[in-house]
Amino acid sequence: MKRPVGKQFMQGNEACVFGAIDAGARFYAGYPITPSSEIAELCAKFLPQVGGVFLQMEDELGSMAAVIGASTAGTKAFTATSGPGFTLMQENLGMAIYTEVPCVLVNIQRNGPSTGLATRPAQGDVMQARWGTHGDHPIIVLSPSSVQEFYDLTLRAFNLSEKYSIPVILLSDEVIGHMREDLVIPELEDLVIVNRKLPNKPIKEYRAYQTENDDIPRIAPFGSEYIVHISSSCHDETGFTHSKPQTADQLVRRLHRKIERNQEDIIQVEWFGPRKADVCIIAYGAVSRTAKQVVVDAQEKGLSVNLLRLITHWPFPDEQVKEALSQAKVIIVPEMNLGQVAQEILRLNSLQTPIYSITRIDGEIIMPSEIMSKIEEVIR
Amino acid sequence: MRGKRWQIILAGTGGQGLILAGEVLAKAAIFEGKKVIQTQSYGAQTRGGYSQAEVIISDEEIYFPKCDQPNLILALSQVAYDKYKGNVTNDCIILYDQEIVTTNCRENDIGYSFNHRAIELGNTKILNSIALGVVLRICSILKNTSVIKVLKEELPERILELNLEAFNLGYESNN
Amino acid sequence: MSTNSYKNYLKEEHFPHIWCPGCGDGIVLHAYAIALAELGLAPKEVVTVTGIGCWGKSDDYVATHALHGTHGRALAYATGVKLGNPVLTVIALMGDGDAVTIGGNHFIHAARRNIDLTAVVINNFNYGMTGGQYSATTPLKSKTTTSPLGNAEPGFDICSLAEAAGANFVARTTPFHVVSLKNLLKEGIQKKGFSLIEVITPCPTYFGRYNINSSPVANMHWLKDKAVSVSRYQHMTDEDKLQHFAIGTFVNKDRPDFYTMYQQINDCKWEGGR
Repeated sequence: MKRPVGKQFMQGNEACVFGAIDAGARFYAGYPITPSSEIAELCAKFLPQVGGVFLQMEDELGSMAAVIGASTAGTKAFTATSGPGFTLMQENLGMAIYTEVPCVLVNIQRNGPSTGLATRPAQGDVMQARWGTHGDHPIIVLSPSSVQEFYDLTLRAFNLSEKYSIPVILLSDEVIGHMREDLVIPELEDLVIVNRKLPNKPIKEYRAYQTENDDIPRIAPFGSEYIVHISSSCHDETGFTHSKPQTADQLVRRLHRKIERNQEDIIQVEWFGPRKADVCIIAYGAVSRTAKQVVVDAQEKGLSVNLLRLITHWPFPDEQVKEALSQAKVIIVPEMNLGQVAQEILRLNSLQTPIYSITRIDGEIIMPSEIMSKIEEVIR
Repeated sequence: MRGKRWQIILAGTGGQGLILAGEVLAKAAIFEGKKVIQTQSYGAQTRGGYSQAEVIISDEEIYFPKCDQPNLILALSQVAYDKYKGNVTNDCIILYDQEIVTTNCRENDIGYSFNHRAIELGNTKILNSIALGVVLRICSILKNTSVIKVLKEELPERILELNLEAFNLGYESNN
Repeated sequence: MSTNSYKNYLKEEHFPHIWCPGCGDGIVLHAYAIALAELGLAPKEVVTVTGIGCWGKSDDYVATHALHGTHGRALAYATGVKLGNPVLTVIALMGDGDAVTIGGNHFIHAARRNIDLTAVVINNFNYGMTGGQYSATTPLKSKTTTSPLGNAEPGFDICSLAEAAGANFVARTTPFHVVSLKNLLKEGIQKKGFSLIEVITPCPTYFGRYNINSSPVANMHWLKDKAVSVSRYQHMTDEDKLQHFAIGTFVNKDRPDFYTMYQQINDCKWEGGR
């Protein structure tokens, strides 16, 4: 594979594959589904060329399981899917979170529920990404809004996953996945690649799930001198099944703690337009592109509008959203769903700032004119 | 204002190569150092359903990736023409296939015999290259040499000559 | 390797195991440990993958690397482990629920792909752990807690399924036949490509109690009486066949395994994860 470098023009899904390979991914297991299939096709082409393996599994249940398997054997692994497949992957997403197996899951969101409008964009999986798998669990979810960012965030998704021993979801959408625009791919030596922590103790003292001050385990890959036991059942520091109430409590609280205490590192947002404005649009993914156009157009109209773009969906950027709620007179939340993030913003609205939700669930992206007319309506 | 900007929609039927044509147009614009975004919409059918490519070319940063104020629409099917005829500004050009599309005779409707010309050249698969030529002749967004350069880079040898001929035909002939 | 005891492969400190008196799982675990010891595979070279169920608890007692996952997905995890590091020996221990009921899709596709794994499927004709409900191998008319008047569905023949799907090695035995059990496990593990060893095992607590006898000894005798060699079985009348099952090796071939084909077709070599 000739690695693309420098200025390139490509599709979001394509940038994702190059980001993954640059991050060190050498295994992909997936089941084809529109609008994510380009990721599978390009992995099938390129992974063997870099000594990796592409595997088309029999379904998404098995795809996510195979990704976990490869990662436990020490190979960075990922999968890509869309709504219906994402739902099937929830089973083993829970397994990966609970057993702290690093891996990346890309969801190119499409209109739903169920088969829905299979080729049309949506942002209806924000809450599924957060709560789709059962039980209390933490998760990291990132949302790109350009082809450049799809490359950058894929790399970052692998890095965060390896650093915190947790699956990371890249929550994109059909618009960004299929969009072609230019991006710059850095030289390999300029990339920062994070690899999971390895054991730092003698074999006799080693316990795979024993953590130090950072709450992050050091799980050796299968095949090393350190024998590792990974279990989807409640487990203690040895990794073996252990069903005491205290063990269950401590494990899940630690899983949350390792993410909560690192929120500053994980959470990313972008402020666009004037730093303070009367109207703040909070948006993400494809719709944040609409919002940026609105911020530019508003400036020309003499309207005070800015954008808070959520790059990290989960953990939710509480502090940044609270800042927006305290600075703006009005908050506008355009989403290609029925207000999944707007509800989350309401949770933080102790100041009772007026929040207006713009929703669209017809498979069409929200247009600049829709947001603009809402702004003109509410600031009058 | 949004600066100097072209919003072009290439609409028709899956299999006509419109998404590829959009990609070529976009790459030619990149070659000229412009900002470009290309997106696409399509249905479940790989062949035969409605399909469109959208290309935005600008000297400035492009935020919104879709064409909300198109300057030119290529309509290679009746569905494509009907989808846009009532939703665009008067100065938006709709370039339609005059053997397929029945128009409402808008002021800026321009007809061309795309299918007919393609059959004359002996291959309907080069219809998209003819269309690219006509689009460039009507609105001088990009230099024809930029498109030719991209075609040479992107197309395999065996079909390159015919596509260049098709592009030149569209670029040079009126109807 | 002169003192390579089967005990090196067991976590004896985790005993006593959870299995009921008269269950065959402990015998199969013992045979598994002996097979690994006799093959001279170091525990660090082996990954034991399990799902959910009585036999799905077996990872608790093994000293190899282990991955215990969700119900039915053992072979899918195992597939990923094998391709994540092809030098590992990867063995999936599953019950009839894991292997051919909830995980049936993964089972046929792992066999079709002929991925270099060994599946040790304990078939006790029902879901023992959750209270004796019927599975995809419960025979027609058999009584279980979800077929109190008899099962209206016929059961799968696991070996035929694996054979039809393309496995390289297919064999059946029982915990009564301990020597053949150990030997078949060794053969399956050594075989490149997908191997299936089905072990028909008593469940005196449920399936046995409802359909055979609640006495562990009677269930062992049932295995002894019902199991006949492949060659003897072939010469039985159809009527006799209904009353027996064949044990021994059904398939032993050398179709290239998935990863060998993959490397050949893609002209590539495994270069490791990082």
